[in-house]
Amino acid sequence: MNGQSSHQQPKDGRHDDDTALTEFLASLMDYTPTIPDELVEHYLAKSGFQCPDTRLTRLVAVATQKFIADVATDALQQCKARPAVIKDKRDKQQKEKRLILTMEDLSKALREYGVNVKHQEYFADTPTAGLDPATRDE
Amino acid sequence: MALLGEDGRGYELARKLESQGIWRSWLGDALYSSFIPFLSSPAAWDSFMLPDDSKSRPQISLELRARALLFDKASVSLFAQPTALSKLNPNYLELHGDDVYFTLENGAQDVDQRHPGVAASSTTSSKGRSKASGIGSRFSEPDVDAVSQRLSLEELPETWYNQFFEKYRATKSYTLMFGDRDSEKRTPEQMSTYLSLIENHKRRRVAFVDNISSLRSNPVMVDGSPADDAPLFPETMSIFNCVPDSAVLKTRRLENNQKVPFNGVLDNLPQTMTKSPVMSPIMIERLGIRPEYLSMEQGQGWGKNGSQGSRKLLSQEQASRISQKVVVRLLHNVGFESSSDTSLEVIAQLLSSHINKLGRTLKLLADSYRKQCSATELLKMFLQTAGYSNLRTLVELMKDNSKSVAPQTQQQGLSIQGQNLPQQQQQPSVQQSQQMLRQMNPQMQQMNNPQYLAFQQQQQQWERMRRRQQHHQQLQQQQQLQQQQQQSTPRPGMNMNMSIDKDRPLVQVKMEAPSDFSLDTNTFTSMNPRQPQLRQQQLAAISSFHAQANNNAFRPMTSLQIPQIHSPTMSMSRAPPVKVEGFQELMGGDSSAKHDSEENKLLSPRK
Repeated sequence: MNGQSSHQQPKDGRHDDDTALTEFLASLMDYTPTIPDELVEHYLAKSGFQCPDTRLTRLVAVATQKFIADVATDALQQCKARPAVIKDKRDKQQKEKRLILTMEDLSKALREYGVNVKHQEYFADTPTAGLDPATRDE
Repeated sequence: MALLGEDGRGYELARKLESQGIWRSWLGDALYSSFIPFLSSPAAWDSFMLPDDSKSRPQISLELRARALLFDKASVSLFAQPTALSKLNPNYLELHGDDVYFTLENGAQDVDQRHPGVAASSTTSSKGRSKASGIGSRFSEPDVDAVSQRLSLEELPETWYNQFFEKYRATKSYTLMFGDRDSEKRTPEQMSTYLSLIENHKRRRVAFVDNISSLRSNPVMVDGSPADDAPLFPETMSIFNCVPDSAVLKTRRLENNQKVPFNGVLDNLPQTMTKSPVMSPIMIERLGIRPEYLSMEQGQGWGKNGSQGSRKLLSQEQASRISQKVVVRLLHNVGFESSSDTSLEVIAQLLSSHINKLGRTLKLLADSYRKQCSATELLKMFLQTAGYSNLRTLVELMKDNSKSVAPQTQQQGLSIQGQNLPQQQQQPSVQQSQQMLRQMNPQMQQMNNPQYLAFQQQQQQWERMRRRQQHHQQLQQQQQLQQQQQQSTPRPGMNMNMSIDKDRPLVQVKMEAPSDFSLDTNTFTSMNPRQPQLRQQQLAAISSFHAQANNNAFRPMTSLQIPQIHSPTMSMSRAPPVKVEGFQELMGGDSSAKHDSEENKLLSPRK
């Protein structure tokens, strides 16, 4: 009996998972993701995947939306973490820090996801540029 | 080939040929004398026919020549049904000069022998021989021909066909053939004569007959002339009056190119009938409405073929532009006020790459585990690969997005009502709007459109329509907003506002984004007579809106058109031209509506 019940539990768990997934798919039809279906289908078709079921398209849209939202949130935190603009003594009011997405914040955020969009710090016109004068002479 | 007997040696057939004296004429007297002992008994015949390495070359050549005739006569059983030897027509077994034979020897010699004018008869040829050296067409190299000729002349006399043709050339009929040029014209009489001639010829040469005695009498009845068995060369005899046997040419029937419905493994995800325990039975019983995905049949392209409506195919440029707009919306949802050009492009590319990656994952999973796993299992695998095995994160995202819409909607409603005051002339009552909705439901029952919406979805769509209409109104009167004071007088009773706003989208949605909503447009047009004046105003608004938008390709994405119209530069690095509040309203409106306040929901009619 005990064995049966313990065996049934994983089955029930799986069944619950299936139900949860099915319900989630159903709920996708109520929610229109920010990413339109046509766009998602375009890119999915580019990679070779076609499916007439809109729920799958929306699932991919929601997943992508989450991903981008995560990246954007990390970038926002980077932006907020940066020290605010130094208060100008002449101005009485402190400038409000405007939340602008810059490449700096974005590159820091994307680094955690394995995407490297770092700017070149400088461009050298010769191979020895930037080296010490001693080594350069040699 | 049944005529060759069970062992395939064809002894019986050979005996039959012998009884008609055909072997002698075929092989010639010299060879016949060496051949006839093999016909004395089946055992001797077997040893003759058996391939044996110890046999000499002349022996093999003789065997091959005998085989040629044997197999040629037996080949009829490949095509005809009756296969009894006794039913063979003796006339068929006779050697005829006008039978078509393949040549595999003496190719050059044949060409030389032919009269140069007899171009048509080049199609006829002597009996085939499977001689190793003779393989090739008549146009084979002269070396090979010379070798084969030498061999044949040394070992065997000329083939029967060559002898026949030599004789035939000497006959009168051959010379007359080319002398008679009167019948150069193609006339119906001559064509019919030719057809009857051909038919008689075929009847005489038929391979199998049921009654041999009747056949003997036939030639007398059909053709009285003694030369009825003369060779018939229609290509030379009636050059101009040759006609095919039948007027209807045999054409290969084109294969029915049926579209085979091809279903991917993920095409039929498990449908849920228990979307809500209350709604679904009611939906189906009363309204005959089922969720759209329930009625979706297998293999039906969801508009990709263009048959199901307006699934548009995007070009690369369009896709990149749309993805940038999507990114703008997403950034705003997260909390950013503006962004630099480069970052926007980077994130847009990231978006497209991510979708690509997810698509690749899905495709890989579906292709690899199509047979082992069900669709649900594949989906679970996909979610795990993507990192969303816990669906809660996605559900929360959806909830967050829809929550962020709700509080802003109310502000929009209030502010827009202030603007709409001067435009309103009539205010239909709440009951009217509810009546309209009730009217819609029976109409929906009658719809033939297979895409039906859930009742709840319909309500939400009303909300979306209303909100979008509000957005458009906002854009339309941007300049007026700056000048006018945004004095919004909260109108008494939100229901009244709701009713007004609901009527408007009926028209606007039809004009602008019919593809977005599955409801039949007929239902909308039925409402229009009730609000003719409003409709005119709406049309004016729409026309001006379109003049601004100038981007018909993005019609379905009405909500995303807003930023484009709002400012010419998408980069948002400059301050928006309108006040921040107005901008918030523009950007904050999401198209989903899950948690609206009760006031905004349509209420069922109070009885």
